[in-house]
Amino acid sequence: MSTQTAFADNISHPSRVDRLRWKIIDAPMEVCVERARYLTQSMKKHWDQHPLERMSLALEHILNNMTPIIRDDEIIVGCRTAKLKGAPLFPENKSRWIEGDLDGFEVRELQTALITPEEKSELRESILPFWSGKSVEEVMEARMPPDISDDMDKYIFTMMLEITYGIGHFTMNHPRVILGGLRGTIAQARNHLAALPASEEESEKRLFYEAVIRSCSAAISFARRYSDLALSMAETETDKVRADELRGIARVCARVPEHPARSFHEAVQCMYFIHLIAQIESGGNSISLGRIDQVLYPWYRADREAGRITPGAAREILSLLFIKTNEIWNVLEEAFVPGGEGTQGKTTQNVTVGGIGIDGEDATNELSYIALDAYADVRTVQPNFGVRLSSKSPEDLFRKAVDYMRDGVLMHLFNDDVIVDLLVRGGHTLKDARDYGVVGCLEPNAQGKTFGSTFAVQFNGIKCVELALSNGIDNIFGYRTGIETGDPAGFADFEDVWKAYDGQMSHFVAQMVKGMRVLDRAIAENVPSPFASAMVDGCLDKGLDLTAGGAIYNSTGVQLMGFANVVDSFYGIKKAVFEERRFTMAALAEMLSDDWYDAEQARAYFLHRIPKYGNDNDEVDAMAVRVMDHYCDVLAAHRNYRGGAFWPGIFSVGFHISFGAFSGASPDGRFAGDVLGNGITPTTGNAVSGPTALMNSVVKLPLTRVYNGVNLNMRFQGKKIKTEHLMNLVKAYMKNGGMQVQFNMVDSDVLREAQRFPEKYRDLFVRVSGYSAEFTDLSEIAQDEIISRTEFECR
Amino acid sequence: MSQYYKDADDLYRIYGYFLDRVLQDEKIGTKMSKAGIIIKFIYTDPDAEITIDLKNKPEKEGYYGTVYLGPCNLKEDVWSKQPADHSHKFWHGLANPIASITKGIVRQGGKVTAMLKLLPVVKPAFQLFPVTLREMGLDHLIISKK
Repeated sequence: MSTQTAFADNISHPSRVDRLRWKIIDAPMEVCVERARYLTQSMKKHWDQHPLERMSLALEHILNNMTPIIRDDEIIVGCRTAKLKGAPLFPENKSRWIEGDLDGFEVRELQTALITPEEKSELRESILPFWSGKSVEEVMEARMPPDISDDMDKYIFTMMLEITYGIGHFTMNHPRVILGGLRGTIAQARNHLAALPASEEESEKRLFYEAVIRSCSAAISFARRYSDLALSMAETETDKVRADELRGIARVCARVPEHPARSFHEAVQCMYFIHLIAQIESGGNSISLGRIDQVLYPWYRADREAGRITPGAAREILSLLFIKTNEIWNVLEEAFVPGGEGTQGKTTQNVTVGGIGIDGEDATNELSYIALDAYADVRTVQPNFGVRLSSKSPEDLFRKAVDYMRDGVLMHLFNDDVIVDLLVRGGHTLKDARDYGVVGCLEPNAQGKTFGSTFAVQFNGIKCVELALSNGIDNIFGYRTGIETGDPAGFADFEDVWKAYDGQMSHFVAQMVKGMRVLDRAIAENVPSPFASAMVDGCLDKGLDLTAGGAIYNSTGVQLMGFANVVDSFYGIKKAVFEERRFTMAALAEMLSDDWYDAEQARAYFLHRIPKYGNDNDEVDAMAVRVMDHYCDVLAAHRNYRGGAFWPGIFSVGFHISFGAFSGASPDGRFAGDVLGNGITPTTGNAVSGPTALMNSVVKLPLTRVYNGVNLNMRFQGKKIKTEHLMNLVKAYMKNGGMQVQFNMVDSDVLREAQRFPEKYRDLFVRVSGYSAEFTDLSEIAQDEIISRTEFECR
Repeated sequence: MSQYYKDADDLYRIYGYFLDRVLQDEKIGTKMSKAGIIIKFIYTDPDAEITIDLKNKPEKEGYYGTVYLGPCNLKEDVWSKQPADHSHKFWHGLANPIASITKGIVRQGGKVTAMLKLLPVVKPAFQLFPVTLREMGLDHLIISKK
């Protein structure tokens, strides 16, 4: 069949991937107004209609009018904006910040983004005025109880991320679309529509199915526009090879996503169109591709068996797909930059390979290796690549992954033996748990069946310690922000301290839960996502949008910040105040309130003499278990707007920096404002007993209760480590119950050199939290934090 | 029309005195100097500019930084723009800085992340601001906390 062989023979350019790779790395970040323009045009016409109607009509208008672009060398096509590295705007979520930041995009120090004067004028004159008073942010503000509004500004919790970036953090059921085409999805929606009882004919369900049909039809038209463009480009192309490629692209885009894919190339293109359109529909942060080797393998195998593709050609197609994901980024408002370091990495489009199948047996296949090689070929911030491992994983996959990691290819390793158990405990069926995909930084959940809003909330644990030791006074600002939990001078034993901490945390978690209900309702009622809903299982059956609880699984992720600081602080208090009686609670509270002013000796004692988490010390690690269990217990008491649970997570994105800045001195010897520990990683400089001891501390934790995932970030000395040693370390860690780990393998000298000569290190990427970023795109504070991370040796 | 400042000269007089104290205060000054940045405060109503240099060697002995009242040639690392009255409330601890930024009352630019380094000096500076107003005989400008 012609479409299936179009590129297998032609893909022989060894430098195509390299050319496109450098093109995207060198491209300036830009803001693109196209999406906002067509969204607003449509909304002006249809504002009086139901949100499901007007959002789907807007998506249709956007997809029908966006500029289709096929760039030189491209095989996998589809653009989110008219600019190579363009960020669309989503004024329906938040519009005020765009007005405020409009003149600053090009001149800001971090995350600079170009924008034309014409686009600025268009935004100012015809787009933003329409959204005044209509955005989700403003609807939410009008509904939010004043006490919760106040609490949102205290840097104890953040809960605006669902509309800062947009609805995302999910994987879609790609196999369903690749197998059945969007025609299949439309047919499903039509069947549901036809089966609606008379009593529901005028219901929201009808509007939902109609919106799904409209959105999917628009997606088909969008792909056809690419087909038409490719054909017209082929007609004028003088290079015969490229002209053939363009005709091949035209055939593929005429076929998918409308109809079932018939080849590996069609399957990949189908996957990318669906991925792309979901990210045009909403802000789409961390809409993820999922288990790419499992999803695409049937098409690869069929092509291989028929002699239509070589492993090399498949590797190139996957590399091209991965490069395309680097075009997708969201511009961040400047006020949020300190919490969102490394913007291009922030769309965290996850891909995993390896792992077990739904039958519990290892599902690694030939494509797992090919995808790993393809990712190593591109080595860009996107996709956020992970390798799923289990006790049944083949040794050579493990070795290949570790070899690449040692070589500086950034990725995670996930332990299926722990994560499957965790997901079952979290309410997944065993089959769904085994088929987990990863979204966001590292959050596992049932692939194509979940709207887990995993990045919804960041919760400042160390602030709760601070408030517990100050009777509710914020030690950064000096005024009351917490509740009164008792004068610490009167705490008779450690349990009194704990009770105060529990009081602060329980109070603010309850406030956050109330706030999230208001926000989630505002989202569901104003910006439903019918296209994405059609791609996630459960929504069509329920006739309910993803944002309203349509998915099969409906959790909300809440990340604890400063985990290691909380542990070390509590252990310090227990030891130095209540066991050794070296300090009184009153004296400690005073020193913390005063940011250790004139108390250097005491600070040094807490910092250096008290054992710290991360050194395989059973007493300290028991405190870590208690802190983690408590956090899980506090969240377990609450349900979210969509009927799901609040899932605890411990990973920090960039919030270990910004939350640290807003947190007062802590009893672990930390000064006010200093950076917090990253995820479940020990605090910087305090894991002094080596990598094995650190991992031993981690595996004592009740990790299978932390459903939203944890992040262990370790750093080794570049290529000095041997693959065998690193493998043994990771193997032991996973065997003992470790859940996830990632490494930076860059020497401090190289990082310092990159700080001095950023222009020479444009493709130096590092792991920030559960995602990668261009090192030179980070703030000096974030760069310093990465350099200061403990650099282990492993011999 | 500003509620607290008659004009730019009045603002410079008050902030000049306050910042003079801040930059000599061992507790606050040592922390400020750690930030190692040049920050420019731009005020509206009345229009004014104050630059604090925490990067270069202080001009005066015994100071942890140098303050410039009015426009100056130093290139700032970070700037913050706000109504003068809002700033007055802020230094009394009565304006939430996060809300001020997210609601667009305060604008900032440059190395905004570097500004975070100044947060640990906020509380002692809050305590000092009404004290300096009192010392200047400006008790009527002190906002009482409810």
